[in-house]
Amino acid sequence: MKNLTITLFLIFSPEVFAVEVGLPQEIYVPVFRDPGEKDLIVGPLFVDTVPVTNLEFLSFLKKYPQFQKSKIPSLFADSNYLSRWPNDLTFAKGESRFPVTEVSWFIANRYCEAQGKRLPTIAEWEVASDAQSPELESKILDWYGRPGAKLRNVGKGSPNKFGLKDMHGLIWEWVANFSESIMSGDSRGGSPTDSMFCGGAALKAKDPRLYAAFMRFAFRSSLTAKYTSNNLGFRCVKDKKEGVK
Amino acid sequence: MNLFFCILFSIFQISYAHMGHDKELKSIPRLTDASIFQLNSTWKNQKGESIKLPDLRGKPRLLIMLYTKCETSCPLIVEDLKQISRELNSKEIEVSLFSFDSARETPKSLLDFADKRKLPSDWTLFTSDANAVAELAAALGVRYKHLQNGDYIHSNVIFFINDQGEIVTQKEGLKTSSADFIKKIKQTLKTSDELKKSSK
Repeated sequence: MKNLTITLFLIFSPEVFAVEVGLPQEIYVPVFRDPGEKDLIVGPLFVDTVPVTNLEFLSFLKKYPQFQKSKIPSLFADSNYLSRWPNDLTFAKGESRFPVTEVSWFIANRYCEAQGKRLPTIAEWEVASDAQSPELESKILDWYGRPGAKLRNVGKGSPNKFGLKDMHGLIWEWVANFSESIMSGDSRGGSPTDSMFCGGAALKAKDPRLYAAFMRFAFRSSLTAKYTSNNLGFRCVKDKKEGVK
Repeated sequence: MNLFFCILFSIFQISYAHMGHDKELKSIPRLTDASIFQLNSTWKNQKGESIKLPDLRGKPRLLIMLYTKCETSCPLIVEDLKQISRELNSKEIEVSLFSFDSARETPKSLLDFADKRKLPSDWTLFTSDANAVAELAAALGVRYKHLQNGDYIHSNVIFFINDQGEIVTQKEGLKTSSADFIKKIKQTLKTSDELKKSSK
């Protein structure tokens, strides 16, 4: 009976949990601009409704044993990789629908690739998360202010205006080009970060509410590709080809 | 009938290729955990030849990432690299330059850059697609950003990697002193020489 339940669960899980949401073409307005940086057009895209779960990640690890925790080379992930998992093919009890965390950029990348998808870019993630909407601002800042908040099942939060869930309030998420956030000004003259930190008027940004966007910028700039953390997971996206529904 | 032979022939070819591959795997020891040669991306050099990253195994190497249309920091880092290479004065060490510019770089633009900057003829310059660039940069910890006008903002780092593809030491920033970097490289080469001698 238990096996049957699990089988049914696996059969239906893609429809129930891993559905994608279509993101229309939108314009991304960067909050912190480098010289020569313009607004970007993103989409149309398909975005995973919820972050990738432990259960979904397990089937990936079964197919690609080289990414199991006992076998992962240090080039691709730090020693904290999947440390919540008791062993290679077991996640912690009761956490099948928790978002998978403690996964590095390299492996998140490979996971999405294996699904015929990819990680979202910063621009895509910022648009999809609706993070710059004033209504969400206080909710987001409140969550940023509670470090170490506990993990839970994905999909419990209310959907945002695109129908996406858990974009805020559960985990931080990997983006393809996280390394574009560069805090130190040493490789470029007149970078936006220079003015961000120089003097008392720390943020050049016009709107103090953009503090949340700054937090994400700072967080991404602190990441390295093999870094893993308990509150860092990911979701995948797929380009929506012209003429395909 | 033709089709049948065609299929049969392909099967032979495939199995033959596999046999060769197995042999190759056996003769080379496994890559180390931290080796960047675990990235199996394909690159083109300034002569238009294709190489796979693991092909670079076997020689210690100075390595930088840049792009040849870069007018500001790249000429400086290349001069820096020339100076370091001269000071090391070692025939053993190879020098490789990897381009960020997957969109515009070609073997010809690499060759033009080598000419313009008067790079030593044994230096190699490489270009590849955006994924290969992203993975290599990630493995090295190099940060970069592609701007819409085609330019790249990037960290300026010179790496020294050993013959197995592990990063031994690195020099960050422009106009910083090379003394410690060079000292560390010389030490590493000396130790590996001694190891080789004692194992003989």
